[in-house]
Amino acid sequence: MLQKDIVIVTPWLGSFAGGAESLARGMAREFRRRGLNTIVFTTCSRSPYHSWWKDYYQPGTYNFEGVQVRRFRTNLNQSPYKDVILKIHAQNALTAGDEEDFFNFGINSNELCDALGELSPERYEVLALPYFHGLTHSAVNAYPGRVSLVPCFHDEPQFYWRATERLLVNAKHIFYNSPEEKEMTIKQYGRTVGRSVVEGTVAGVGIELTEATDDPLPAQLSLPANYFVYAGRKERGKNVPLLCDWFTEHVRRTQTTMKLVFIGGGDNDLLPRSDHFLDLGFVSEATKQEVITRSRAMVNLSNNESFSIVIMEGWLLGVPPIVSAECPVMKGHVRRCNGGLYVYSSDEFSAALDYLVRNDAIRDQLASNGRRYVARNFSSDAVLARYLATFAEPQCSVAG
Amino acid sequence: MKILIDGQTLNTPELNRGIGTYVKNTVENMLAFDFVNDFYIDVDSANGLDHFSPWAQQKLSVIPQPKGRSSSAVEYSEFTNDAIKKAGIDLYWSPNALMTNVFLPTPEATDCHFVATIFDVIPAVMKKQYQKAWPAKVFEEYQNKLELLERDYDLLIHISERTKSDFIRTVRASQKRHVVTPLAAAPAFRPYPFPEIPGGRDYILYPGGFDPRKNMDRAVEAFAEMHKRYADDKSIGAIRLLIICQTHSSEAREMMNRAKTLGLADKLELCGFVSDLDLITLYQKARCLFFPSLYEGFGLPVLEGLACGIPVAASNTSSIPEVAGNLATYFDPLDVVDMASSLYQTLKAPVDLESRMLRHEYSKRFSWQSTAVLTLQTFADCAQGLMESNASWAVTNE
Repeated sequence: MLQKDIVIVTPWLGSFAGGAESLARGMAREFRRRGLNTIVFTTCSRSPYHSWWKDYYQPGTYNFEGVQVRRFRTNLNQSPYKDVILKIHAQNALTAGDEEDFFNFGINSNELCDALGELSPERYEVLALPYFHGLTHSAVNAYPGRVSLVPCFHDEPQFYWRATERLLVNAKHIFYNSPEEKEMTIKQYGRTVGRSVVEGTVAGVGIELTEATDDPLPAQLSLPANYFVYAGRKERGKNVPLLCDWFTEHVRRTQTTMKLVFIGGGDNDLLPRSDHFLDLGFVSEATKQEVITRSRAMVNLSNNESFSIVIMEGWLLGVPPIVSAECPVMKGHVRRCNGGLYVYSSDEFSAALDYLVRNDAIRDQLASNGRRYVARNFSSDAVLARYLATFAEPQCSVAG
Repeated sequence: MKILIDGQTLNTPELNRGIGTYVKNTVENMLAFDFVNDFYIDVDSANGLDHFSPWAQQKLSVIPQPKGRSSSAVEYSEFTNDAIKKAGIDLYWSPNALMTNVFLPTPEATDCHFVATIFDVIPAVMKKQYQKAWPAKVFEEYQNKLELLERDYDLLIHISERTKSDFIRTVRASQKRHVVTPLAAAPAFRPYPFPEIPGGRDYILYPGGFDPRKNMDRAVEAFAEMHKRYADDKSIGAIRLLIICQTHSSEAREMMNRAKTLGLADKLELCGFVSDLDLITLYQKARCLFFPSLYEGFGLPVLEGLACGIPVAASNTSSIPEVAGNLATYFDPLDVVDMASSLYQTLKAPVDLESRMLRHEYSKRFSWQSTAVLTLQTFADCAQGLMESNASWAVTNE
C-alpha cells in the first residue's frame, strides 16, 4: 500500500485536448479522488497550441479540479529547437547534437527540475510524461532512478533517437499504455537498456464514461436512421482520407443508404462533398455518447494510436469497432477481447460494414465482449492499482 | 505413494461453491508442491480437468469412468475398488464425501487407505428439519454415508474444529483419525488498494441464500430494525443492503415485497449470482460484511471479507468464531435486535487503509498452500500408520 504522495510532471495542464495531457489530468484527478495526495508540476505555458517559451500563467500554486498544481516558468531559449524543426522540415539528416537540442530547447523548465530535487524519495513518487517533450527528459535525467516514466511511445523518428535510450536507462519505473507499446520498446531497447524495459508495467489508461447532463440530441441536430461513426480529429495522420475512400467504394459497391457520421474537430476539407458523409464537428459529451450509441459501429483506420480511448468508450456504450489491421494497438485490443473487426483492405472493410449491419446478435456479442474487457482491465481502479503495485516493487538498477 | 482423487465434484454445481473452491485449490496446491507422490483422478469426462492449470493437468493421471458417471453407489464402489486394484493405489481421497450428488465408495479389503473430507454435518445436526425437507431415501443415503465413513474410512479431514466436534458428537465417532484443515481465501481477495473510494462506501454486503440456514428473513428484519433504531444517525440513512445469491424470480419478488413492507424498498438490492471478479470488487467497496448464517461448516465469506479488509458482523454460531477470531462483531442470529445493534456497531468500525490491512494480514493465516501441505502430510502419516491423535491446524485467534 502506497504511503507516499504522488507528483505528476507534465509540460501543460489545462482543459484542452491531447492524449498525454489528458492522461496526466485524468491520473491526477483519479488518484486524488481515491484519497492519494497528488500534486501536478507543470509549466506556465498555456497549452501545446500556444508558445512553449512564453509564460501565460503566473508561477505559483493553483487548484485544478481539486488537484494541487504548481506552475514553473518555462525556459525562454527557443532558437536551437526551431533550427532542428527547420532541418526536419527540410528533411536534412539530424546530428546527435540536433536530437539533444530538440529535447533540451523544446518545452522545458529548469525551475521545475530544481524543485523536483527538493522532493524526498521517501515521501514522493514522481511520474513524468510524455517522452516526446524535453521537460520529461530533463526531469528523468536530472535524478536517475528517482522519476518514473509514462512514455506514451509511438513509432516515430524520436522514438529511435539516442536521447530516448538514455531516458529509459534513467527512469525508475516504466509504465506502458499497451502491450504493443511495450513490445515495440523491448524490440528496440531490450538489449541496450535491459530489465527495466522488459519488466515495465502495462498500466493502460483508465476509461470511464463522463456523466453528461446536457441535452444529448439538441433540436438542430438530426441524425440519419442508419450510420457508422468516426469519433476523433479529422487528420491525414489518422487516415481519414483513406476512410472516406473506402466508405465511398463501399457505397458504390453495395448501393447502401448508410451514412458515415464524423464527430470531432480537425480538417473539414478532408471529407468528400457527398450525402453519404455527415460532419457534426465538435459536439457536447452527451451528444457524443448519444451519436455513438445510435451507430451501427465505430470505424477508425488510423495506424498510429497509442491506446485509443475512443474505441473503449464505444464498447462501454455498446458499440463495436472496425479498425485497421495495420494499427497494432487497436488490433491488439480487438483481438484480446474479441470485441470488433480489423481489416486490411477496402474489400474487407466493406465486408465488415455489411457483416455488422446484417448480424445484430454478433454485433451485440462483440460489444459485450469489449465492454467486459474495458471494465475489467481499464477501469480507473484497475489502472491506478497497477501503478501502486509497481511503486511498491523494488526498482531495477539504474545504469550509468 | 499413489493417490487417487475422487473427481466427481468437477461435474457438479458445487464446483462454483465453497466445496468446489476447496477441491480445486487443494488439489492445485498439492500438485504444485509435491514431487514425491503420483496423483490419479477419476473423472467421467476429460473436460473435468479444464478447471485445473496446465501444470496440474499434466501431473494428474486420469482414470476415466466407463460410460459416463456411475448410476449408483454400488456401481461407483465397484469401479473405484477395481481402479484401486489395477493401478495399485495406496490412498483414495474423497474430497467431498457427503454431498447428495456424489457417491461414496465402500472400501473393499485392500491395502489402500480411504480418506474423506467432511464439510459439515448440517443434516445430522438439524436432523428434524432435514428429515422433513428431504425425501426419505435421500436422508437414508446420507445416514448410510455417515455410518460408512465412521466404520470403514481410515482418515477423516474436517474443514473446521466445529465440524469435527459435531461429527464426533452426532455420529458418535471415536476420536481417532480426525484432522482439521481449514479453507482459505484466494490471493485475489485483498483490500481496495486506495485510501478512499470515489463516491464512498454505502452498502452492507450479505452473501445470502434462500436456504433457511442462511437466515435471510431475520437478516432483512435486522437491517430494517437498524434503520429504525438508529434513524437519528444520518451517517447510516443511505446505507443499502446488497444481497448476493442465486435467486429465482418468485423468491426475488417475495423478498422485494417483504422489503417494501419493512420500508426498505429503495434500500435492498438482490444481485443474483456474480462472477469472482465482481464479487471481489463488491467485497472491497462494501462498508461491512453481514453474515447471519445459522450454521456453517467453515464460513468462507467471512474470511473473504476479512481478506478484503472490511469489518465483519457475523453469527456467534458453529465455526464462524473459529474463522474470524477477534476481528468480527458477533451476534445471536436468532435475535433480530442483537443483530441490528451489532450491524450498527460494525458500520462504525474503521475502514481506513491501516485497519483494512490489519484484517487482511489476519486472513493470511489461512492459505491454500498450508492446507494442501497439511493434507499431504496427513496422507503420508495415514499411509504409514502414524495417525494417533487429533491433529489439527492451529489458528491462533489473537
